[in-house]
Amino acid sequence: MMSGLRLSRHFVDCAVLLCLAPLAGAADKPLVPPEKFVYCTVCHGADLKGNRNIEAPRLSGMEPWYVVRQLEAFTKGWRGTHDADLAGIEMRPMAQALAENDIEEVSRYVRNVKSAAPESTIDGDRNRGHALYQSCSACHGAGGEGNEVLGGPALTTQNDWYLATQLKNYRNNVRGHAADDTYGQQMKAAAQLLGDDAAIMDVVAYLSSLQPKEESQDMKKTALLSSLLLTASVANADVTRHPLPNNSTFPIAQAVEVTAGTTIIWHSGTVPGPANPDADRNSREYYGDTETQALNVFKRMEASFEKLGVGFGDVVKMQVFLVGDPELGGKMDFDGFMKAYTKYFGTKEQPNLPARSAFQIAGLAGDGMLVEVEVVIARPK
Amino acid sequence: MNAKNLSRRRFLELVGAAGGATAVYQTSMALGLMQETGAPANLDLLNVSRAKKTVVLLGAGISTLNIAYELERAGYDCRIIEASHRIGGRVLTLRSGDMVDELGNKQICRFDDEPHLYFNAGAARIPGHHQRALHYCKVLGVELEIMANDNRRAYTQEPDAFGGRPIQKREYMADARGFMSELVYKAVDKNAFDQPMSNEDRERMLQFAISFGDLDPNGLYKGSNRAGYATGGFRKAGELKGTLNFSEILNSNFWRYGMHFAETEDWAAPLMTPVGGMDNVVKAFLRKLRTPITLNAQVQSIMLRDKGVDIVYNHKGKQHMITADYCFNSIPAHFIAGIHNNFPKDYAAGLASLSRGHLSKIGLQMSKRFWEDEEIYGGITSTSQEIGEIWYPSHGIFKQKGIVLGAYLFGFSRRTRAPSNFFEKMTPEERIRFAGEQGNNIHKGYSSYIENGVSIPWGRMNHMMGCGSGWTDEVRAQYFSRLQNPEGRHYMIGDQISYHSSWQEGAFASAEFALQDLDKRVRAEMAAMTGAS
Repeated sequence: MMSGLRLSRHFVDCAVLLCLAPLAGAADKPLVPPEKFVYCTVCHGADLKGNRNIEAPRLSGMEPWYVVRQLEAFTKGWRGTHDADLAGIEMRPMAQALAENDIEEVSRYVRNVKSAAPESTIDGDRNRGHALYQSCSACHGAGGEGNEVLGGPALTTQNDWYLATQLKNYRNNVRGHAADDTYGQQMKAAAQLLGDDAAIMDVVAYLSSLQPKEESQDMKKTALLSSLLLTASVANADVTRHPLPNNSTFPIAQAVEVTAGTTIIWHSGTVPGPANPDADRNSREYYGDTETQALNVFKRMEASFEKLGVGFGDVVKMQVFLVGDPELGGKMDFDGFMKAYTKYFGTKEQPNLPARSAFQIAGLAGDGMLVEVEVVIARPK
Repeated sequence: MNAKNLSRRRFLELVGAAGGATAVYQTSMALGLMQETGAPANLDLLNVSRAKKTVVLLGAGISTLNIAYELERAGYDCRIIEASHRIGGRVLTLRSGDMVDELGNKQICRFDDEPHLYFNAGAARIPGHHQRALHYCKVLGVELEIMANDNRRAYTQEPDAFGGRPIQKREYMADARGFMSELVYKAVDKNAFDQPMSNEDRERMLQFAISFGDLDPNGLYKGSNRAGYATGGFRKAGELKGTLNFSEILNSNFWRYGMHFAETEDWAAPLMTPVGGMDNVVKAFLRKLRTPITLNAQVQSIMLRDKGVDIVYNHKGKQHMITADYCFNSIPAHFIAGIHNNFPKDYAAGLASLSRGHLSKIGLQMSKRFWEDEEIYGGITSTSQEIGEIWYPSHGIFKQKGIVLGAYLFGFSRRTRAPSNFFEKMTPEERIRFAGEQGNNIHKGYSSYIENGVSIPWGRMNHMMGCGSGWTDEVRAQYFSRLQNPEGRHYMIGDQISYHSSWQEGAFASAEFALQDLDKRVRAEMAAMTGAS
């Protein structure tokens, strides 16, 4: 019936590795999905960047833990069961068809796929969106970068039209309706705060403006340059740092003054990631001591700052929350924290000091966590 | 009806409305089914064997098979890349052992292995004016048979009318027309018009009304043998059925969606279908084709270049690239946004503006051809229940078993207007149970005859995710010509790029347009080259 796979005379046909050069470059090459996940790409696209026509969200850039959690939500019927959730209804059997091992495997595959940054498709009042987003930032991060500990996924890597649909779904009880879907319930409540469609569009437009764009490399360079400039002059036109009295050498400022017209960023509290992820979750080694945790916190803040195009030199205010260390008789390890802090503040390379307060508190979100740091940042001009 | 205020013109309009012509015309326009298909073009393609022209075709369905067939004969070097495990697209005939690749719900067809036990899950009918489809059936030797699309002995059934009782279509239609005609007769008889009619006109009108509605000589409708006799008619005189209640007819909905079904553009009887299954059209092309077809090959990237098109596809875990002079692309438009491409913005926007259709069908193997005991041989029962229709096979009459179409859902429910996604979200077993329960309201014991079944919700079939591309009038006005014409060396094709979406004729018509356009430009190119040498 068919003449099989006879290669015709005139065709150029070869494994792409050998001749992909005419394509727009290696980064432009969609990853070949594992055979058993080819069907994911039918709807989510060759490089998982999502397809609005099928209402399939972007998977590239989605955190593996969130991929796993959502696949489980579909399997359990927390998603994809509400009559009005037509796209979710389409997704549910796909999730159900996955074996348990597959779920881990698919999350690894998703992690490896890269695709071009999402495009902005939604118009809204970004300033209003920025203000509204403040209530979201507690869980999703100041820059929408996501927070695994609090269960808030990254938002800047998702397509804006999908964020809008999901916010509406949450608000209308189409998502987050299952009683035991804790995160969904939480998000449903949060979506009520946004009120009308216009508010949703504003928040999404704001998030979309935070999305890494093609020119981000250049922007980063500019940001780096401006933070270097800031380093050179401790008090510039926008930020004046008043030193502690009596020539104190303690590395914080007495007060920091910011003039009107400066963009202020409220950065959510940052908690540490595991220092030793292989260790038992309840062991001391998992998060380490206060110094280790503080170093870890600053590392994570650095990553978040990079996305925001700011540096430690731009921090104007800091709040430090320390949990009493059981190994120190329940007292906070202030010295341990300071060892880490002074690596980032008051150094030759980064002399800018924030106004700061530090507290001992009863506890943090994760067992074994000893440090959380919250900052306010003045964006360099 | 207040006949006193009727003008003659208004009366004539009313006759049209009552007789169905206007209503039918408007209904079919609303459904987008009233476009010309016309006669097939006489393709006289320039032979290019010496020029070594290469063509890559994306998707192995009617439009690409048609184009490969024609281009191969004109000396082009073709290749077909198909994402799914099979050839034919939405021309899908299911038989014993076939796999239905629904995403998340793979099914195996469990029909008995008998030649007459098959189910056309996609394309199923060819009307007599689909001249391109018929042309290829003729030249490729596809044997056709008549398919009783319309059967007045089949039923109309609505839960909200006539107590939910199935009524023979002939009875409903005879009575509806009879009562309408009686009203017309009375109006004409009383000369209740603004302007008097001539006596001749008047007399003809009265006779017309009598004939149209089968009225008695006094212009009264008292039943008709068009509705079928209640008893008798052979060894003793036939006895008319009592008439239905006219106001109940008006309260029912069949006259809105079904009464004129067999008078619409594409569904006027008789229709045809290949003997043994619609996929015989596909098989006939494959018998002639030398073009290699690669299955399970999913396109990842389509890059338009000055002198050709680069296609990257993924096959058995490896990426491949092919470069061809021309590309014919029948991939469903709603997938294009998910495939790497360098299409101009407006072209991509046009493709993204077509919506996915949601046709679903169910095929049920019945242990007994019980409908034949009810004097039904082929044709369709209409119901306002969600299953929409029941089709009885026109072939295999008097065999023990038969495959019945147990549900035909196109977009939404007639009664509740619920989108047919409700059906897609059921498991295959639930769908069969659902079809069985609703069938029980039409045929006593219907579900007890069901041995097994397959459901094909095209909106979630792997690599398809839709059937019947949706074009709004605005999208049509803005983009149809843009998408019908090539972008560089890339042609978008298929039934989606036609005025006959979800019909094979639409795919053939789209292919024909593309072939004619290609031939024109290739002739121009070749002429330019010859001129230069």
